[in-house]
Amino acid sequence: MFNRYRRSRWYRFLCLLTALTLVVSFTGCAKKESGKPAAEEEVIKLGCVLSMSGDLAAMGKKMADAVKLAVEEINQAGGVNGKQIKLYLEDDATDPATCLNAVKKLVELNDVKLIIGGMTSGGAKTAGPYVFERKVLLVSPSATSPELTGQPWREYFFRTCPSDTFQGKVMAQLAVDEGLKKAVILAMDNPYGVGLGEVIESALAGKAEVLSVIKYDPNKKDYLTELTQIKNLNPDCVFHIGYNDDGRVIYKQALNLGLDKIRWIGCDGVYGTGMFATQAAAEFMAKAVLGTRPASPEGGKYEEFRQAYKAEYNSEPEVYCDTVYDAAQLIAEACAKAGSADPAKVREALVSVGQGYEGASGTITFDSQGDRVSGVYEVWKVVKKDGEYSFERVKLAEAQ
Amino acid sequence: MFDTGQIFFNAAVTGSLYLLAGTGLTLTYGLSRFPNFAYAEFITFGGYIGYLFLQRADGSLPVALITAFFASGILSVVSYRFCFRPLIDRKAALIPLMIASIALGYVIRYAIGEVWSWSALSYQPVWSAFELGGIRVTALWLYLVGAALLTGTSLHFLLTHTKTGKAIRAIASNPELALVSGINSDRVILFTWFTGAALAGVAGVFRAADTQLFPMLGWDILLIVFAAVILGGIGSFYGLIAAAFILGLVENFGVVLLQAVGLSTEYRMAIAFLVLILVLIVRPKGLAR
Repeated sequence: MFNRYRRSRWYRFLCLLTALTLVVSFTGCAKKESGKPAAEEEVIKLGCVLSMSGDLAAMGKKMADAVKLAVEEINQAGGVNGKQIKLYLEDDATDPATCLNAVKKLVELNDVKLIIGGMTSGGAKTAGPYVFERKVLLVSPSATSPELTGQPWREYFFRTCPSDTFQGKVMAQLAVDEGLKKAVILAMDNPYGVGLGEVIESALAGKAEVLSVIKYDPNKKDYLTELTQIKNLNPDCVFHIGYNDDGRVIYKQALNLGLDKIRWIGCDGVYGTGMFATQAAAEFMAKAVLGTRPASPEGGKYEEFRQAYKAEYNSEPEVYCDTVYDAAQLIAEACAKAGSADPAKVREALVSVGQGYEGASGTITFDSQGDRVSGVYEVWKVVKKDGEYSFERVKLAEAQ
Repeated sequence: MFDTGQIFFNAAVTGSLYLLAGTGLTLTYGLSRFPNFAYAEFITFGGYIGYLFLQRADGSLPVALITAFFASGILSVVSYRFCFRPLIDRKAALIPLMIASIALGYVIRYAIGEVWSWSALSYQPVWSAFELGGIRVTALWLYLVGAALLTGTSLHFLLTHTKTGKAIRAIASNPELALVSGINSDRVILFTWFTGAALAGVAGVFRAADTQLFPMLGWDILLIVFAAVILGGIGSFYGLIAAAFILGLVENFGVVLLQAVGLSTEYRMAIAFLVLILVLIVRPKGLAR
């Protein structure tokens, strides 16, 4: 009995000792880290969360190139406040939960306080409350959902792309211009699809009848029945809000069902050469689809950016390459104005820098909560020439 | 307001796919007594093998189907020999076998992802569409329904009129007795594993041709295929035929219903499973028993 008691005491002592050693060594570590703040301040850390995989991978990779270009240009011009910018690129896999994890990783492991990201509206919505709470600046180049306007966590969230409120108005106007009266809205069931769908519906009020709003699962990848429903509703136009991956399947199956006889109006999500990976989808687009996308202004700063991008990567910049480039440049400029990389100060500076800022994506003016006050959109169509498909600009349209 | 003919035809297309994908699942369950989750990957693998032939616009569908048939069949036989057979010999129970099949599925799925990349691929040939009695059809859908009909009739013939078929039924109903009466159960089991997975491979090609190809292709439809198998009465081929088409119908009418009440069509699966639960309450062992 006595022996066992002694032994257990001996064990307890050992355990305590181990625990103490651990605690001491940990505090040692912490001290060491806080002991060298000078090293931390040598660079400005810029995080960037884009889709390197997932549904928007093709778009995300081109955008990442644009960010790298911006960072390179800033660093070559001497950096900001005498410091170089160091880029931390993370993948969100076009998934809101992964996006939040990537942002958390940047903030908690890499100690990054200025982040470009929220590739999708879903991603921005998931990461938004977190960055608000941690007082970390998040600037999205491509989260366009109108739902993001007026969120309680908007203080630290800006976007360099215009809200889809403007795009929805331009899309609705296309149908009105063609004198189409009966519309079906086919929208993917996420903040982007539902948000844009609602804007279109309200913009059409009094001008055309909305027969039905069909929300679909972007991951199901089989839309035969939804499309059969559209056929039975017999509309004269279909508004479709989706991405490349589901868009390819929808257009392929729509071609099979003979839905190419009615006017389809697409959006920026179905823009991109990725759509042509499926022959039938490309054929359908050439026959039936008109679309919109945020446009870059012609000439000026955009042309400079385009030339630099082409020289660096030997390919044309695509959608949101300019807004993500502007996001990087704006953050750098705000850092310079604030004379610091502290996110609270950079946030303040960003509000004033973003008043009539001439960027690659046109004149950026933020409203009180960090949304752009107007949007320029391109109306595009797909043309088939000698068996090759390509996107062609129909016109530019501005919405306020 | 809906086009009943078109919806029935769509249901036939969906049901045909479930039938092809589920046949192997139900037959091998009858013999080996565990649900083989790696079937998802037998479907996907068939789709990717088909891609070898259909990545060009002049690719031949029959060649792709036949190659996928054999490739998935062989993959299944190999997985039986080297993964499941050793476990069965060691008297592994249902749960370890099931988990092993999930694990094997992961290995195959991620291998496919590494070889062919994780981004979605598309078959290039375009199947022309035409009107048939007011119903919009494509040649591909007709092939799919045809393949399902062919599978149904030839399996019926096989199960009732051939020695192998009778052996399959004998082993399924009483393995010991079958062994005692001199049935080479090893050969019969291998034959069933091959044929079942081969049909799943064919289903993979059809699915990829109708939508697109990605490593999750099989996994995405496996749950509903399982539902068809269970609804039909697991182990029963005839039950599966009925169940596949019932689920096809429920899913397709479900979309009409959801759209009419303004809900997202994501819930169509929920409707299919609701029907499954209701049927199982009335007939706990599925339709066939």
